[in-house]
Amino acid sequence: MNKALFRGAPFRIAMIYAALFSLSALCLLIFVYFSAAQEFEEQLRERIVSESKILRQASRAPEPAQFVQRIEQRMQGAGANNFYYALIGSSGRRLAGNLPKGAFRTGWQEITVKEEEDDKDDEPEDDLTTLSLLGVKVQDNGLLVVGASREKTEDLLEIILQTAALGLVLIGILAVGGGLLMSRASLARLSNISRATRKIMLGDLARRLPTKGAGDELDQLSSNINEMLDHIELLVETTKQVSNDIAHDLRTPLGRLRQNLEGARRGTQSVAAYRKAFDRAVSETEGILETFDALLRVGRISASTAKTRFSEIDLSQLLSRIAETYEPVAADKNHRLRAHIDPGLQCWGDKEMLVQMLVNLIENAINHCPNGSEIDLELTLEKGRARIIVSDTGPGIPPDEREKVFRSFYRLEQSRTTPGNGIGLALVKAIAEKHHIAIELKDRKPGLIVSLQFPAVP
Amino acid sequence: MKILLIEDDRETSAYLVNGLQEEGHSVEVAGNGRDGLILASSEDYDILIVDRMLPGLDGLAIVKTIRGAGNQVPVLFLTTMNGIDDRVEGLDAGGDDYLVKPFAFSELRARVNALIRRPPMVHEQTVLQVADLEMDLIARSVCRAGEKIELGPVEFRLLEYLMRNTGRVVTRTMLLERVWEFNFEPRTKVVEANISRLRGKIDKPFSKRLLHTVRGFGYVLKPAGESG
Repeated sequence: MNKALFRGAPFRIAMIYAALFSLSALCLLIFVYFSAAQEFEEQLRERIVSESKILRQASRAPEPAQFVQRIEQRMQGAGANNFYYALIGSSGRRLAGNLPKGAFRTGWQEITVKEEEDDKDDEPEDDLTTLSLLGVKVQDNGLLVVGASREKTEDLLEIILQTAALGLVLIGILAVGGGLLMSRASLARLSNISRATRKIMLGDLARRLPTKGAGDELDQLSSNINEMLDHIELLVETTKQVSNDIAHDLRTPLGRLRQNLEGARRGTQSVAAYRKAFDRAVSETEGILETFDALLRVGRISASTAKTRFSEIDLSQLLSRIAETYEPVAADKNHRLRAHIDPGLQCWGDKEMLVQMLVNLIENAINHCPNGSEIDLELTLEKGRARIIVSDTGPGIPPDEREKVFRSFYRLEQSRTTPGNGIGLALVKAIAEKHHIAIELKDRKPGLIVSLQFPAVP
Repeated sequence: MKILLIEDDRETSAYLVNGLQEEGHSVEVAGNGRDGLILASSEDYDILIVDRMLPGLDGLAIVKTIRGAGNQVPVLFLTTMNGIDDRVEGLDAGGDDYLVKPFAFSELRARVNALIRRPPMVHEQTVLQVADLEMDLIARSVCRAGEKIELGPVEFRLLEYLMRNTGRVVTRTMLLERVWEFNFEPRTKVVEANISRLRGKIDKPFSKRLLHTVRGFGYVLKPAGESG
């Protein structure tokens, strides 16, 4: 067994429990011992007291000799009872009894005597027994002493003690042994998880922690961590992708900017020419800044650091306002923008974000459709859920690209020349996710249908 | 006008001071939060231009403090932070406007002007009037030379904003933020198209032009020939 086993938490816990259990067992056994001891003691004394009472009755007999007789009778017949007697007369002279000589008094006392029967197997010390004696006054200042051997009692207690000790040792062994076994199992699981984590940290992002299916806390922890890893993997992938896209797509406007400025620098030019060059440069930088802004916004929304100000929103009014705003914009390109909006539909969300999302979709339609297209906005209630549809009769999105368009910076080949930086739909997706809105892209035949299904309002 | 600029970046300071002085304003500069707070509390200015990120005391704290002391001087925040919540935080702290760096000077100028001339107590008017153009805020109706003009809710809002800022140039960005509450750059000519549409309704049918485009800067509503 490796040393780690003993250092580990499961082992320590098991040991603590073992110690606690042993301690309680010990307390119990001590209690039992002392209770037994007390009980035995009481029983012994009661026997002696009874015997003493019986004899005291006899002592009231008119003839003192009868008393002595009685005592002697009891001594003969009482073999099994093992009582000891002594009758001391008022003068101090022994009148009867089988107790050896000794100083007796009233009350309880204990003496040690040699055993009558010599058991040859015993050790010399075992020949001695302790007696409990009770002395009482009888007529004429005599003293009647009755006693019994404590041998049985003491033997019993010793048995109890030995059993207890043995039991305690067994308990101890079981506890430690059980603890070791359990902690080995526990430790094995933990070290599996530990190993997996290390591999993940070293770069194997696809790996997940093992779960035993036991449904206990370790499993729960493992599956929570696995979910976390799923999320992290997604974030890492997204970041990689976005970085690539940024590098690729920002190079162009930055390149143009540089060209503009270098061109302006070459040769002597009129002030007006310089001014024009600067204007172009400023406008190019504005475009780049916008792109960065949009990227940041998407990043913030996806990473959920944007403190959302969710509130009840009149979706119908929101969309109506946007429709009214964009109707003239669409008209500039001869598009026909129509809105069918069911009134009074509410939703729970962040007003600014929803506005941005819808504006993105509408502007996409306006910008990417050839002049004179139709753009329709609908807001309806379907099975208790609000649904917004932005559709147009433009070029649409081919089915195989429908997943990819939501990536930051993704531009369809056909739209490479139209204005925009490709971030629009990524932002739409981020906002939709935040609001638990289901987005679907469909074919209008011809054209594109973007369906936004809102969650049911609680 | 007396302007206090609290900005720690030297280049930005120089740029703004030059521009504002050319406009005829007198500008004092504080390079850090503490100095700024001291100046703002001890002297009277027509407007404070405050950078949000400052060494020492930050812009938000400064404005909160002076507002707490009852100072109602108009405040324009400058910042590189463009998050939606950053904006709201700035306005909640007592700022009146919020401009994101980098910005064009014309943008700053327009906003400064709008803030400076805002009357401290805007008592509620029910009717706005520019020349023969009248807007009834209660009835939500507009007429010019006695003729009623039908406007949609968004057009109404746009006109209302222009009328409340009569004679002052309002930039595209101001319109986007105030009329449409777009805190982002749209990718289409929203402002232009709507202004055009509005012009068609309130200017074209009439003899005198009121809604003018100031190239490179923005729009202004005022009777032609009047200097604004």
